[in-house]
Amino acid sequence: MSGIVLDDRRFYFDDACRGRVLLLDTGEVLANASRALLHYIDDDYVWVMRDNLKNITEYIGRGADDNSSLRAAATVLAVREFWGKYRQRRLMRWGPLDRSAIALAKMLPIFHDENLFFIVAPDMPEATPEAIIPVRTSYRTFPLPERDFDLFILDVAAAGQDRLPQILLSLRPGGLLLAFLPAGSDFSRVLPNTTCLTDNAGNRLVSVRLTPELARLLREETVVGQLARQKRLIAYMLDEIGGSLGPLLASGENGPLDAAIAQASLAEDIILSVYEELLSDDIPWLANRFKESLIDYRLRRTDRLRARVFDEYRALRHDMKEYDDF
Amino acid sequence: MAEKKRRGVYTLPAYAGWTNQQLTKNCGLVPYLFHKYYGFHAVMAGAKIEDSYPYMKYVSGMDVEFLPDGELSTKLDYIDAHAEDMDLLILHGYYPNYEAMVKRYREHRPDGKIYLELDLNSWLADRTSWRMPNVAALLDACDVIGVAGRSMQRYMARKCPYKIEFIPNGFYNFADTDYTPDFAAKENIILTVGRIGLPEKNNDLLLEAFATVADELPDWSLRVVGGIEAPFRPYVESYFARFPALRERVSFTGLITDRNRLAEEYKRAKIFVLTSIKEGGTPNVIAEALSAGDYIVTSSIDAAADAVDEGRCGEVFPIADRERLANVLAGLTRNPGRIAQGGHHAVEYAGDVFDYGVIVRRLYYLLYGEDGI
Repeated sequence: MSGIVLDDRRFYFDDACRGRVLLLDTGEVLANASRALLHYIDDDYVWVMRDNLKNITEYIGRGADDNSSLRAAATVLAVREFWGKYRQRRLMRWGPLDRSAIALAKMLPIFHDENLFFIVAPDMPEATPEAIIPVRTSYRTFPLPERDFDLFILDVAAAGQDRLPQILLSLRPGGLLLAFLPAGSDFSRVLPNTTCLTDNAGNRLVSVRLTPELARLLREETVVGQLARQKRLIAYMLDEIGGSLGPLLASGENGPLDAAIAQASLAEDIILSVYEELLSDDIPWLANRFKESLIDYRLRRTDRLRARVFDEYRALRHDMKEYDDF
Repeated sequence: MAEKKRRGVYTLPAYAGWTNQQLTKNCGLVPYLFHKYYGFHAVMAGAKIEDSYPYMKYVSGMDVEFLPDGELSTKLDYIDAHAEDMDLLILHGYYPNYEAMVKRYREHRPDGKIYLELDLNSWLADRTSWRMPNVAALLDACDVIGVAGRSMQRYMARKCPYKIEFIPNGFYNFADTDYTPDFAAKENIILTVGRIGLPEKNNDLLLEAFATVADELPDWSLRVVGGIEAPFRPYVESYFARFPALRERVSFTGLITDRNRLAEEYKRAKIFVLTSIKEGGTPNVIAEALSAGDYIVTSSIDAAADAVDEGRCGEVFPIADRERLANVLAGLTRNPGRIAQGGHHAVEYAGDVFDYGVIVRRLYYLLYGEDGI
């Protein structure tokens, strides 16, 4: 059963695909106290905040939404973005004004009294809680400013995936997008992510952080078009994995390998989304083989399988270059 | 915290029901191993099409449920009744009646998983319209689509934009039999295993090829393991009438249901021959023969390169080419070093690629994004 689990100071999400995933270690906030105002961060404060957050996630989890557990997880991830970082932050919520939005809006002033919470909701009530700044404009055509928000919480079903590049570019450098994807949605059109949580119904919460490289690629998109953007993204994602293959395979940790496999799988999805345009017939096959080699190494760490990961990666990249596809 | 619900894995046949042999082949093995490794409630459901199922003893813990008949409506009713427990549905091959089954399953279980094992050969792949909306809808509904051979995986990846995973038909050691071959104890035996006499198995090719070169390899014998199809019996009688001297050197064991005895056949033999005209992926017998250190000689089926690891542990001859097969056998029997070297590699290769424990772990990871062990 997917949902939030609190163990001592740590908030976890019981993911339908990945098992128990750590969302927030409130103890780390205490450890990082030197970077924040000390009077906000003491041991008692951590425990009080922990209990507040626990109550809030339970409240959200009991909501009528079919993905209420993911909404609770998003709230914890959002708190992780704000907690212990003492400066004004701007949050944009694009989706319904539900209990998770209200709860988060009420928490923001705790972290900094000038934090701002904007919301574009399909059915905006006349009266909103004091902490929320409603943006009353056309829901579909709302023009988003660039480099404006630190956190964007998005219902992809409401906004449409075609708005994703623009939404990402509305983030400040290093900003985070938390996007709710309905079950069965086309994953291939979602941008690279580092975290994907899945509930029992198959709904997903994807988080994407705006890195400088991703921002550059997204800006190019408007110039070179969708196909080129997809291809550049594929190359970017594979380069990201390839650049760290050595340490990745040398590490005894499963987490980074799982993330690399997820990224390789996503690259495969995007490759398939431009399938008809590929010059090489073999790139989908080679991408699959590369992913498979990572999985095999993840499951059985032998030298032979380790060597195979490098071989498959080289074969894929060689084919991509050979056919001038990327 | 409430105890986690035990997950269920079900497999339903495209045809009326399952054969006894399918219980211990990929059709039965995958659900059985999901039960054994991950604690799934495993069920093979289908009409009873054989008098008895002696292989059920090998898949203990997996339920075999007999439906009243093999009609599609019966299977749909079964899905209606069991969907709640069907966390994973496994389908084998591509058949049009799957479209209705998958649609019904998804109506009940949008959150469930479907593994479609495309039991494909190039003949079938070429005759299926993979881009037709109904076919695409079926493929779209599946979480993992697998093929059993590398060349077929590549072929399919060129035909349609889907993630086509390599999920070979592997080898599973049911009885914990020691398959590790004693190469010094191996005998000069050429072996073939399967349903003898099925037209697509082309078994007469091996019998004829052996007769052609029998005089050149006087200390070699041929063992043919498997139930003999009735229409093939007259051929066997005529074969011995034509080659009476081979009665002592060519033996038909009949069907061997005892896995230990079958393993002994593989372990004794030095060469395993497959003469099929077409196969869906790598046949199970190849994986078993590799595990026992047999040198493989196979017809050029789609998965031939996989079967011989690109020539490292076997040789390929053109389909239905008796003369080439005879030449390969004659050449090999004069080169014991090659047979031994290939046999040693076969054991290592089988462990890496065809071990069902490895295969099922990868499949589980593909389905659930984690190593469940």
